[in-house]
Amino acid sequence: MTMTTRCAAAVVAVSVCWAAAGRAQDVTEPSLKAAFIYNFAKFTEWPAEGLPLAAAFNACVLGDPAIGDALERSVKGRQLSGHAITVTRLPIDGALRSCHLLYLSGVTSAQIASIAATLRGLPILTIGDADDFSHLGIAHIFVENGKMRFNLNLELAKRSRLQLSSKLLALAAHVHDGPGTAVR
Amino acid sequence: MTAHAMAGDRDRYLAAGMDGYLSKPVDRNALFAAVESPQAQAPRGRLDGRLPPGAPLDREDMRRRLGDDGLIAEVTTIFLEDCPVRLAEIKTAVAARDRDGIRTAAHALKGAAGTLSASPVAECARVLERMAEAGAIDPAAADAAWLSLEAESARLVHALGASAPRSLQR
Repeated sequence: MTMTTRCAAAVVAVSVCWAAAGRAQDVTEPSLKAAFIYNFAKFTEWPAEGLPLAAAFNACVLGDPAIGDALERSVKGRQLSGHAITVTRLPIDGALRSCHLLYLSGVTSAQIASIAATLRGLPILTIGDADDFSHLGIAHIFVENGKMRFNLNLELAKRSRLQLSSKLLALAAHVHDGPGTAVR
Repeated sequence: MTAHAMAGDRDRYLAAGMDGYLSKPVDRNALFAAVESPQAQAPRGRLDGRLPPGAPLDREDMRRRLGDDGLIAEVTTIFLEDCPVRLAEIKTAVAARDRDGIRTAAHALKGAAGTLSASPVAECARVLERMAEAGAIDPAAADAAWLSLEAESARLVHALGASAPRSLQR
């Protein structure tokens, strides 16, 4: 079979499934981000008092509804260290303190800074894609040369009593540890 | 042609995007058969008269950024599900000279391919995206870019399908 035929066969096989669903919005980037978000949670440890044994893991999404949908698809049927996962979509004045993970998008830097100040010290893994998120939250997702990457703010993670695995730290483009410093 | 003739070598080379496989010592009949095979003679997509060189994806770069097998598997699944849909959209948009359609679908495909370190597909998608952004579509250039993208995508899907867990193959 030639390569073109192989690809054409794949196009027919899958486009049949999707044609019925009819997708107008872009789901690729949200899906990729959701995969990253789940991966961050997988390689982070929460203090026992922040995430008791029987509690469900509360993954919150503020802003972009496409990320909430993608995250819901991504975590379906999955657990985090034995914890069931719930995805909660929140408004900016929602119950942010009940989150174990908080993805922030579509909000201004000033709003992110104000939220970060409110949540300071709480064991909440903050994730975002705003340009200056590296300084305001723990995991910053960005696109560089067409590739999705992330920075980690280790100082903020420590302050939030979250343990980021060495594996995760090794994959980060940059690890910020202390004001104005970038390790690696 | 290679001296690597162990079981599995053939699949490995084909998965990496080679059109055929011949191991030493050379069998005269096998050599002629390979050169005359449809694979060796099939027209390939062209971009400015050149084929984008190299492997369909840089697995080392991908592993450096995504590391964890779980994340690689997930991003691979996203791409394998998304690629055929985007290609169908791009094909339709190119035929209709629909700039918005080309731009949106090519941008999405570029992101998924780029995150897999699949530069040839990402690059072909970027060419189409730029074309759509630049202004009126030049039909011949758009058709050529589409053929390149289609061929590179097939190469990548094949490489991923051959190496991905069985559950990801389609």
